[in-house]
Amino acid sequence: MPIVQVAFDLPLDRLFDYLAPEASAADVGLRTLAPFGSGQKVGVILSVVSESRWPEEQLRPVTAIWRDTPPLSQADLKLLHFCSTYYHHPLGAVTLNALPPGLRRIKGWSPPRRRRKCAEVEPVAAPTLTSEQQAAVASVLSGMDGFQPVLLHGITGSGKTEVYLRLIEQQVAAGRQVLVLAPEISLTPQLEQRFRQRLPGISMVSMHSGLGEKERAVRWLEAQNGEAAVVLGTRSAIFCPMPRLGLIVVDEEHDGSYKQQEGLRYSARDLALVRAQQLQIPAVLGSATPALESWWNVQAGRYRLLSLSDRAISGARLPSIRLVETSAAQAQDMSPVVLEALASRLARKEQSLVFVNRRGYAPVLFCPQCRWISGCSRCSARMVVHLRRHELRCHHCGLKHPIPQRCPDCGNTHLETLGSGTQKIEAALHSHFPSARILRLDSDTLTRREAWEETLKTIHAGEVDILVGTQLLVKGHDFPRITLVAALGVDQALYSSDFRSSERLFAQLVQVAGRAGRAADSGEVLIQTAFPGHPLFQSLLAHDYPGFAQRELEERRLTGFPPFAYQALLRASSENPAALEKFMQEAVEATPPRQHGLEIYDPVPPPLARLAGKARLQLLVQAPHRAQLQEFLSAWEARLHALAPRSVQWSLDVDPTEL
Amino acid sequence: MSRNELVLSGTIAAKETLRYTPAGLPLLQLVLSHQSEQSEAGAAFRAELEAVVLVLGEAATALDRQPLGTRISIKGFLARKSRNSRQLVIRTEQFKLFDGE
Repeated sequence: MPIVQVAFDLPLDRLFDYLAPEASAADVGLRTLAPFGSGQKVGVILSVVSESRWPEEQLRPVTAIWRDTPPLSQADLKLLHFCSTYYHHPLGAVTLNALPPGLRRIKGWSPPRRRRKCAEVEPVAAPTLTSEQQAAVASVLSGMDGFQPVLLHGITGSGKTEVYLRLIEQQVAAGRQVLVLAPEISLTPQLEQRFRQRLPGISMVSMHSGLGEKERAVRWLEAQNGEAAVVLGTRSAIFCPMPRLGLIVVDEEHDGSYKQQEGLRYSARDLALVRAQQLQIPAVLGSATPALESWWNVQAGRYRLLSLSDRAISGARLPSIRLVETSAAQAQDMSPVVLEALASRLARKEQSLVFVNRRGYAPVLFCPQCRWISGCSRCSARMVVHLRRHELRCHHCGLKHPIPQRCPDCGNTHLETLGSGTQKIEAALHSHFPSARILRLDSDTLTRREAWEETLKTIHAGEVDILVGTQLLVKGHDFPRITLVAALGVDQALYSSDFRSSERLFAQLVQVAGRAGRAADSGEVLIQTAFPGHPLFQSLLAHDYPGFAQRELEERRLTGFPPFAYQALLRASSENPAALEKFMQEAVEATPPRQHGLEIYDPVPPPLARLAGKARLQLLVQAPHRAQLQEFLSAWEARLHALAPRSVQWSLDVDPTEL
Repeated sequence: MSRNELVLSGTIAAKETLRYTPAGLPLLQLVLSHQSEQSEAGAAFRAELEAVVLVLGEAATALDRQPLGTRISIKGFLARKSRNSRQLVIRTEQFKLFDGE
């Protein structure tokens, strides 16, 4: 009798056998409902065999094999297999998590009665390409058959999106599908709108966390049955089945949101390349500030580099960037230079943007009498002052309570805040410019996509004079009216112990600076810093990403950090610190014999040593070759499973991006 | 118990803008200018001083409405300005408008 081997979303690296009298090889990749323990579980059939290693009388029959949706294809399963092996995550968990939640329900799948409508858009004619854009398009098109990794390095405003659009048009005309990954599109409706305007008549679906469960599943199925020619999605869309996939585009490929930071800790950017290689199709990675790993891949001859070095709108020039030196204590507040620049924009009725990458009123509440500070009782972090709601909030575990009337240690009522968040800057702007229209944008003010769209309209209509916001505001938005950008409190990243922090700061500042003068007016960018001589700022002033990357890569080479080594991190946490330490010590002792060059560091607490009441430790493993690291991890992982007590949660993070 | 009580009268010589603590408590910092006749070693001595006063709570809001030069009397205690400071401030939640002697 046919036996199906089923993958479930379980932390176990094995499949489960069931009797399925009517099953055939064609059922591989289908969803199935099967008895599990005393209940039922939804799984995916990964193979159909004639014999089980268990006696047949011990096997139970499946409850149902669901044939109302098409099976995952061999190509889809191949990507999931790779993902499970490379990230050392159980295949069942990988497979089930690749499905949209709507297809994982025990009650089965039923299509929604009503569909979410897309807003009608007026088609927009294709602009004339610059010669660089033309060359880039032609270059990718010349190598469409076969795996071809391309890094499209274009300065902000150089028209990378237009290059994607031309490639998409060409691929769709040739009968193929295109997958476009973008960071956090639920907050960048502009990108989706632009695609729709420029690609009228092409069926496109967007996939992001802002969708309802059913809507998301329907779109996924449209991609799977080939109806949707273009999928525009965030990280998880990398797993979306697309039978005629001909091109993958990863926009803002350096963006941190491509890496999932919990559960299956995959990088959608890296998986895009794996998928493109498996399917033998091109992959285009676009960025103004590529990840150093990608830049190094160009230098090592693995990726082809295409550059766009001019702004696409004729007349638009790069903004002039000026550093405003402030003392370290004052770098978070607006200096007189910044205030004066804001005043002059107000007088000229132009828009300005003040960038403060910190939400809330102030990052710390403290007592000047006894130096008490507002620490979180559950995390090794400080609670942030949110003045509007009269709360202290921990941005790590979500704990909140009212702002204390008095210092819990000495009773002093005269408590003060230290540092500045968006709310404090907003308040300062109101008192400096009482008649200005000031708008604060951060994840506290923008909780719904609809609210975001409304807000963007008022900004575009020129009904706002000064915008205050976090990085949320600068990711991929075009605000043509903005002629001044002021960045405050950026130095913190220079103190960080994470070797990637300067890379991130550079990318962020280029992104921030790119908001100024995207239309014909050239913009001005002011950056407040206590370290104007820092080489990072010098590269920024010169709009010199290659120079910055060269220097950073040299440093990484000297220190032996990625991309010159491959890393994996064992992360563990527990409410029981003693059990945690014991586990980590045993993990070190249990490391399998290893080849020369592989390094194992000591267990250390991460920057956030306690999170939500749990103690945390991590252990870094580093190897000069990917294969060597993988071989080591496979052997080690098996031992870790045996070692870990119930009280300790652990996971392996391959190619970690945050240490 | 250690004692720390202080009554002082004088005129408001300077006033900062009314502020609020993060918990919403009104707070006003002012300078009180004081002159009095004291007796010292059997002779009269004219004492003069200017003191920084930190007024908290309702009293802060009420005092904020008083113009400079208003004569007031406060009752409070002394504390250092901050952990690292050797400067003293008078902290109070009570005051009286003070006419005549």
